[in-house]
Amino acid sequence: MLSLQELSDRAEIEQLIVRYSNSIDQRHWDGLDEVFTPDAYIDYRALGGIDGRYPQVKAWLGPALGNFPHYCHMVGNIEITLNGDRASARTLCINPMDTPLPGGGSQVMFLGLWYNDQFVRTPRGWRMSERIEEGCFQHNVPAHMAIPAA
Amino acid sequence: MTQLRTLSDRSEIRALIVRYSNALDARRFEWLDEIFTHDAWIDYRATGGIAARYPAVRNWLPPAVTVFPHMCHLIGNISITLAGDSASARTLCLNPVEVPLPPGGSQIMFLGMWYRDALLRTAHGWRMKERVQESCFQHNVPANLRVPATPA
Repeated sequence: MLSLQELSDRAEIEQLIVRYSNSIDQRHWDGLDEVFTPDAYIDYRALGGIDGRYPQVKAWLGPALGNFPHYCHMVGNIEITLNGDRASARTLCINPMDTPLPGGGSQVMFLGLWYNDQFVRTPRGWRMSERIEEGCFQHNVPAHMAIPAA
Repeated sequence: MTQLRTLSDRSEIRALIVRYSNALDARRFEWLDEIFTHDAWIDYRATGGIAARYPAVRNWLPPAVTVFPHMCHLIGNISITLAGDSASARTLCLNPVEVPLPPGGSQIMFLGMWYRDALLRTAHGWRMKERVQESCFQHNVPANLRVPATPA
């Protein structure tokens, strides 16, 4: 039987993963300060983004995502492995993105990816110390968009 | 208030259902040995697969699935009913699959289905003893692929 501690850790880590999606989808970049450690390593290269430490990635996000009028990051299949004050998780994300077309109008592309995450327990709760994207499927990507093949 | 035992059972069963998706999507078919009972009944006929006991399905899966370069089985809406050392669950699955096309290239089809599961508490933890697919929707299925039509 799982202990209350383990159930609590799992619930808090799941919430952290959801909070990331909600911060990104609401363009509330400062909300990410409560998600990542200050020196977290983030790698978005699988879908054409950058990799770097959290401060650099946070500054990049606003302009990079400002190009997309609507998007959402629906997560599921969260598989967490606890190890004391550390944890790792693999999470599936379905990511529809409203993408403007050069000739006007827009088109919704659908990206599938996994997040491979590392976590650390801090005095202020669990924080993400690493997030690495892994590509799955790409559907309806406009011809002018360059996304690395999965 | 829900008891710790019940919360624990629900958490472990949800983890087992997620583990199944990850085993298929990562093509780690050996993980399925820790998910199903040895004699589990599995019915994939709703999406064009076989129905058989676990050992036959375990052999059928790798060649059937590795045809597809990318796929994922996103699950949600997990509804679990506990009954002591048994349980049942109904889970919704959204399943995008990259399908190679005969002239080259590929196309993403989207399948929606439910899993109807029966589960059993064993000495090694919860295991699935039955998984039956129930089809929901099919979108963008290539003409060269045969998926049974969803019953009305």
